[in-house]
Amino acid sequence: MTVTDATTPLSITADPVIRRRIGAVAARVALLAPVVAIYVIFFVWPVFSVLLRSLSPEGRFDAAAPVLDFANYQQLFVDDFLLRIEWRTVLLAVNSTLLTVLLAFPTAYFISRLSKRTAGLLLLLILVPFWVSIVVRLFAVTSILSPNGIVNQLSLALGFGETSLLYTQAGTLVGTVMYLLPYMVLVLYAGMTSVDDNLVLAARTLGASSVRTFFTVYLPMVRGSIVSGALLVFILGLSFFLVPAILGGPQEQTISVYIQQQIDVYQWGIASAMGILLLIATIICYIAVVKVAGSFQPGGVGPAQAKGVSTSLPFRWSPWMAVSAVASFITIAFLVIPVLFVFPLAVGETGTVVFPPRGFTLRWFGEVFTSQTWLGPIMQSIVVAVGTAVLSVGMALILARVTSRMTSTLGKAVVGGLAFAPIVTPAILLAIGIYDVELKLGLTGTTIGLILAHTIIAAPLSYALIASAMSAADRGIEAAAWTLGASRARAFWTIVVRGIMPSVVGAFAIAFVTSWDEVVLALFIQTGPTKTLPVTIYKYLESGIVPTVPAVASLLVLVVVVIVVVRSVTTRATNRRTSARQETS
Amino acid sequence: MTLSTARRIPGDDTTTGARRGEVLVSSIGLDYNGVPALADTDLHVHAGEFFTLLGPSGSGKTTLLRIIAGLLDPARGALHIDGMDVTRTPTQKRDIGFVFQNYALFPHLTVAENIEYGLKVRKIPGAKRAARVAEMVELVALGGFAERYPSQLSGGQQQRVALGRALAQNPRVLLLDEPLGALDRGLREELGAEVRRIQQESNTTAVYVTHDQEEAFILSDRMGVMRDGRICQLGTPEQLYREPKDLFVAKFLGKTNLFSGRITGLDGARATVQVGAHELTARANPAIVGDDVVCSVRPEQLILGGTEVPAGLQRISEAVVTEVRFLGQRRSIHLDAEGVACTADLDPAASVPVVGDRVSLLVRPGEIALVAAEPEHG
Repeated sequence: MTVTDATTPLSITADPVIRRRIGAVAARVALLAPVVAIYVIFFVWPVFSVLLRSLSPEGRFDAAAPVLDFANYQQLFVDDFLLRIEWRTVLLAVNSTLLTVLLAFPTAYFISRLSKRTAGLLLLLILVPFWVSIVVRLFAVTSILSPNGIVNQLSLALGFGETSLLYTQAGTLVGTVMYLLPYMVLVLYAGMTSVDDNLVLAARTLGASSVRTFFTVYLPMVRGSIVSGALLVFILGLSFFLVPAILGGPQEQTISVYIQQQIDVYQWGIASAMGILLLIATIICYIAVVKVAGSFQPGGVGPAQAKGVSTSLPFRWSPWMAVSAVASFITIAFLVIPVLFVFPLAVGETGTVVFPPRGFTLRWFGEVFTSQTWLGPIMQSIVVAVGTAVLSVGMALILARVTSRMTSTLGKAVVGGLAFAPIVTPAILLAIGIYDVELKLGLTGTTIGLILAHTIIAAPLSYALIASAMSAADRGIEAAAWTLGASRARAFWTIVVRGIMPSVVGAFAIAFVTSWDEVVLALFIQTGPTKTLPVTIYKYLESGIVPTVPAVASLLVLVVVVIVVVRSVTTRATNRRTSARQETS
Repeated sequence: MTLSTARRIPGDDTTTGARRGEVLVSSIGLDYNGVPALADTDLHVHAGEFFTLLGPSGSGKTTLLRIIAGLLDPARGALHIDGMDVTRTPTQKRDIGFVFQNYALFPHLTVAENIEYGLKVRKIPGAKRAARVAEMVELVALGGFAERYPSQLSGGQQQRVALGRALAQNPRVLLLDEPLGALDRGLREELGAEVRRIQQESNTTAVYVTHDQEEAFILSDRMGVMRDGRICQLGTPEQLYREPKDLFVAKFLGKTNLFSGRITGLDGARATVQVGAHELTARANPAIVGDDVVCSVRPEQLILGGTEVPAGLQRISEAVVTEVRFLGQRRSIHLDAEGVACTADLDPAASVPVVGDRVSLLVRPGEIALVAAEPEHG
């Protein structure tokens, strides 16, 4: 056998083995092509389109006569009105981040010191509000804060006078903290449970007091989580749209709200520039996160699994612990009360929504399921969420499959970074960009248009779950199936996918919930009369509540409770199986 | 754990007379990023043979095994199984069984389903399939465990499932990649014997990769020692132990004492070698080029003597006893032989020297092996 010339592997005389390898690469490209196409059309192009518009003073990009004009950006730093909006936005983000960290740190610490059972329960109390659509929670908050809501009633009864937080800075701050708290608690909890208890014990054996141990050993160990968590919530707070839009009122515009209002009247120039500015700020913060934490974990995907305190460092009451317990109570009450609040509102007999409810009726639930006002949105939401979930899982499987075969760590990092880029991008920027592109493609107002837009933000989360399951699964089992004669396709479906079935189900669920809860993209893209549920609720929040809204809100809460419980049960089952395997091998 | 001793009588189901699974590797080579992971290698594994590739990690043994399995594509060379060129045949069509180091059992399938997988792929009808699965479960002594999941089995049991799964479709060649590596010592010996029994009973050719020489000795009909991507020496375990071709093989297989010397005469299979002031008769080694050699003397080949050299023995060196250790079946004596640290194994019943004793190190003529002073490649 002659040795093939290594320098001409692609020549016609190339070894058949090399030709086969080229075939494998071609198959991989064919699989990846639709994934890449969706990514480029619904993520790269939108961002690029907004960028181009921001460089034109009229906010219109003309390919025939491209201009490069920074007038819009200049305006952002000169115009008094715009500067006030920007300052307000930054202030809101900073304040809400500070408040969030202050509440989340003792909460996460307290939960991390509890037994596995109690910790799991408390985490569930944080996870359920986390997954309940923010629109639903905001509806509850507006009811609580409104002039005839409990806060004001309580204040009047106690003689503090009129306390109306609705449409104020304080109200916006409360709403934003409520949105950010779960993220921060989950990030901190993950960091705290990964601290080796022996380090704390070692410090004590060396004679350090508890206070000293806390500041010199424990805090440095969790500093990374604190900084990266704080940056994460800062980014979210900076570009957050819904809370300022609903709770802020017209006097409390932030960047996102301003962008939305501008696009509503087709003024793209300044709005695009603001979107790009948000993106740049976000990117800078994320680079900081990666620098601090070493990697980026999208919120909510990480292991929010109760670990339980070890026996070597058992739970013990102390003044510190008592403070933590109080803070945890506040945090959980803060998160859970709005979610529970929708139930009493839903059963009141009156035609206006009041608290406490007068009488008891299930009439509004009946009305939800009989009137087209709600059945349309429910169907629309289900269709869009299922479509998004199917598409996301499909894309995630293809992408995870390709990356799990990649040997270069750089390549993996690049693909991972690109995959997560859409969820890092400020939602408002993504929304106006996709809206822009779908207008050109004639997809606005179509179901498929919304499914594709939701897939852009849901697929990364599905990918994170499936990719981590695939990399944790034994690579050898696929090769083992080959040696037993199974074709590549058969081995992939019957062994690889079946083996990570719980994660595939989880990926489906997370994509479903992401789409089900999504408001900002849906708000822009749905131009037709029938809108998804959260958008319909949002519209009612803008125009005025009808009694069926709390009924729908409570149904949405119930759906999330069911999904979260099912998911925690399945992940527990998977964990049990893997840990059993580790124990025996 | 104890393995059941109630075994089937070997050979009661080996109805096929013709042995199959001859593997012929011709000038197969593979490079990783320009560095040869496997130098152009030739190997002939006979049908029905238990062949072991032995070598330290990174020596290319797993690479060679994976090329035979079709899990890696060679850059050069050809591979024949039973006279058929399978160089370009994908793994799926090679008709092989592969046992992975970590077993690679399908975690979501039961023991029976794992074993059944390859039969299902081959579309064997249901009844026949069930019968074969039952037969395999029996063969690997896992009766009663068929409905368990891999996570519910011990390491040794998992290993036997892997073996049963690989053998269920009656492959031509069974390839085993350090299948006992993850087990503890006692279990390893027991299961090693079991692997050998199952291979014999199923009448399959086996190519076995390991870095553990004891495993290789217990199991193999023949073995090949690998180093730096090439096979240094092929032969039966005894040949390799007694007649190492080079210094690496001598040092890699078992313990040995090395004395530098010079060849002063050659007479057919015998060579005369000068070690220090002593002249000895050793086995000739055709691989040696030049006169500078190293004499490899196994600890059990060294005999301690006084100033007199008894008839039929030759003196290799003077030595001082530095340490005496009792190790159960033998006594290990550490000595300083004129600057060379060496060990001798004594029968515990023999008279015990004391630390500080001056002794002569004696060998039987023709027993010691010679290797070239420097490894041939470097």
